[in-house]
Amino acid sequence: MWNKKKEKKMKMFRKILLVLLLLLPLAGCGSSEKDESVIENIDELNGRNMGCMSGSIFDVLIEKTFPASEIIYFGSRSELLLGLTTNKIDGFVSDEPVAMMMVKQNGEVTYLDEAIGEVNYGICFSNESKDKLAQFNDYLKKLDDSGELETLQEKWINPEGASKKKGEYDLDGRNGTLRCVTTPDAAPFSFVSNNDYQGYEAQLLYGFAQEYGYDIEISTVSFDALLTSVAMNKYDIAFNGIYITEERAKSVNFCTPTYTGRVVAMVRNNAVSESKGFVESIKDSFYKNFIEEDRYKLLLSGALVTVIISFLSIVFGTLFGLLIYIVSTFNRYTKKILDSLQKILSKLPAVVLLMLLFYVVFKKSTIAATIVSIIGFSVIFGFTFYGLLKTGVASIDKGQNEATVALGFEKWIAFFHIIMPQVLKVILDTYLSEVIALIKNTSIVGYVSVSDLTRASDIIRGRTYDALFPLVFVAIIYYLLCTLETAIIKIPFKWYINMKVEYND
Amino acid sequence: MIRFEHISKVYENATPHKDVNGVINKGDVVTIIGPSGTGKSTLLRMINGLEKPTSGKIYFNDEEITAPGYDLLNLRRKVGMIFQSFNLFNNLSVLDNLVVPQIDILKLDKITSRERAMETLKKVGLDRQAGKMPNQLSGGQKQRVAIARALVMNPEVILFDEPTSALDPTMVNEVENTIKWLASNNTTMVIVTHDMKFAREVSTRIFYMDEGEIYEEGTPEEIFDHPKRSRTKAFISNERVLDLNIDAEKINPDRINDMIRDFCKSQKLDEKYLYNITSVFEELVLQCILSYKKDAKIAFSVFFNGEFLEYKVKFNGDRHDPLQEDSISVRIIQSNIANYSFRYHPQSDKQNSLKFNSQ
Repeated sequence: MWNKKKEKKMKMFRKILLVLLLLLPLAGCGSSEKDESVIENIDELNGRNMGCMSGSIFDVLIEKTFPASEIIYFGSRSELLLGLTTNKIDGFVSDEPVAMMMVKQNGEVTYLDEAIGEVNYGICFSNESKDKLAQFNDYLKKLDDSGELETLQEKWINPEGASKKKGEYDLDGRNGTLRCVTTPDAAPFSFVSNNDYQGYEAQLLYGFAQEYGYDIEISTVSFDALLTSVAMNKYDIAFNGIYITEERAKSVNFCTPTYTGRVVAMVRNNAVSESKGFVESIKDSFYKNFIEEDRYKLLLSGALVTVIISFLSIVFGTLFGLLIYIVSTFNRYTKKILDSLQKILSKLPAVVLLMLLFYVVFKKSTIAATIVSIIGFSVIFGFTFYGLLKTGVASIDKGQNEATVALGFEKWIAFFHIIMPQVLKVILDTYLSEVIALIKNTSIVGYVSVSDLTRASDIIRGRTYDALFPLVFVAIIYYLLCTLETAIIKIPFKWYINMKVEYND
Repeated sequence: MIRFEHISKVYENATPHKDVNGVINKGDVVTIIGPSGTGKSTLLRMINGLEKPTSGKIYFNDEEITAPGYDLLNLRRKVGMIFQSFNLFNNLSVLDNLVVPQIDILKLDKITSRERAMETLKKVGLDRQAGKMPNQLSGGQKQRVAIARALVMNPEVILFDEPTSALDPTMVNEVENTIKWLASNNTTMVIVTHDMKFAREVSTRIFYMDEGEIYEEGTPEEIFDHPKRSRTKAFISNERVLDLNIDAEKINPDRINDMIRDFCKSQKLDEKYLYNITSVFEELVLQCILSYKKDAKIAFSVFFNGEFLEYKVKFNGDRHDPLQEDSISVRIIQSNIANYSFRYHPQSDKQNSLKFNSQ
């Protein structure tokens, strides 16, 4: 009775927490206190806190232009924007095409007219695709000569660029397929709209493919892994409005610049402060993040991918763990080998292992990244389960095993009928928390070009420049997925543990 | 039925069996007795292949079971075994403990095995506990379930490995009575025990093991009342004395604890005495004497005179009365003992000699 009451209270408590979590983005929507000072030129910005994307080339520019400023590093453009609107920084540096998009999406910011530098954009080709690079440069040259390139630039690179379509292309693929990869968070160069790849560079590639008889296949990967995946020849072409830098040119081959853009400074737009109502702004965020351009579809397909990868990895991993446990009992040597493998694997971050698997082990194979992820996580989970089984079996007193031997049980019948149900009972709770850990861990598959739930929210954030709303929403989906999957996984385990030759009085 | 021929067993640092020969006939109840470390349990476990002899042959119904490739599964189905720690299957109910082996091993159907299980449980008086889980039973009941589990497999012989050693003294009787009942039904049994009274009552023959062999065998009367050989005589008469000779350099506290426990079991001494001996031993020998003299050679003996324990402790070296110090250990010892006396002979053997009783 007491326990039921307690259980009920716990459930209530959990619901309240969940609602609070849901309300979190609303707090972000509320207006924070504004710094009313208006910055109108570059000199005024000198000495204020400047934001910079970590790993970008802009920190050098900032140091040169704003020597008195302190640089604060952020992980992505949407975070920079959030930092600016919440007064953590007073300005940051961005290329103009992207700056235009941000201003369009978020009325609270604007950029200064004065350019502080210039940047070249380029598409990367792998070492094995140098012939295609030459063809592409020829294609660009032709477009430039005919003035078509300028038309395209005018079409895409303006505040309305993200609502344009690349048009229909007829690809026959007679000369093969271009394996392309992008992080579609760089509108207007590369982005996803209505579940299709769009953007200036996307259109360039489609035009090129049509003219040179290629087919196109596009994958998504997180920006951190974008250049690596091409440098490792996993893909032929990477595009994402990538800035051409000397450093990057060492590992990949850039085409002649597709566009040369200005670099500008973003600041808060205090001039126009039309403050929207609370409910209004939530509605707005919801529409922008989920409804517009069918973005909820992106989230749903991402969630489906997460479910497929995690669920199959748990099923295969569990079977694999059981299999290697059985193999480990064959003799001393198999046990030693498996134990050391387990020790090594347990000390490797999953993301490192997955990238090794994808970019090194399966480098030449054309197996889909989703399958590679399932293989990777099955192996990881298999060894986790193997470790659990070992401790579980060790916790069952040896006497019972001896009793089965003395009774004349065959080894594996005794194991599965007598020992295993007890082992599973001991390890079930730990097992379920490992299941949850695995589901959460699958959020790294973006590194190997799988569009899972986390990746989907990254893509949305890259377009809407709204950090909180998609993140919290994704957090809730993860919570539901974990609850659902553990509940499902628990069923066969409970059934097996409680399996009995029923006793009838 | 069972025949041992020139069995030897050699471990890295011990040789329990040098040359064991013996025969167990159908209908025999053979009890194996002897000092600790003489390989009584090991010999028992060789009968169903849980242990393998280093050399020698064992025959079961004239088949050599030590031959390579012999079908041990089949042998084990004919030999029941009862362990000191019961070893019931904890996830299965009492009934299922008897049903699952029948289904998995004898390949009987559910209904038949359930009927047979209930029948056997009735025999050991536990049919009313059939639906309980093992952890809901007392130690004595657990051991009776274990006996029923062995019986339900229709074994030709049942092995008992110290069946009452892990039991609370109040529960020893119910288990011993069950075994006696089996003996009266002409069940062939081999029993390892420290309980001499029980051995005498239940056995048709006794194996006294010592010196790596079956040193002497005979009927309970022959062994207990008229032992022929010197070591048997010493064992039977000294049975009431616990003698520990401790060399500080080779001390093994676990083994000593086992010997103290065995002594209390065989003398049917309860927890109070066990605690008395253990704490006196730990505080006096391990704390006081060994911390004073790292290379001491100590003789520690306990005798139960029916009323209290009589201790005699001797150790070599210069004159040193360990109870003269003021320490926690000494206080613990003093709270446990009475009539303490200390003597030292500088002229003769240079031994510190202590004598006292339990309180």
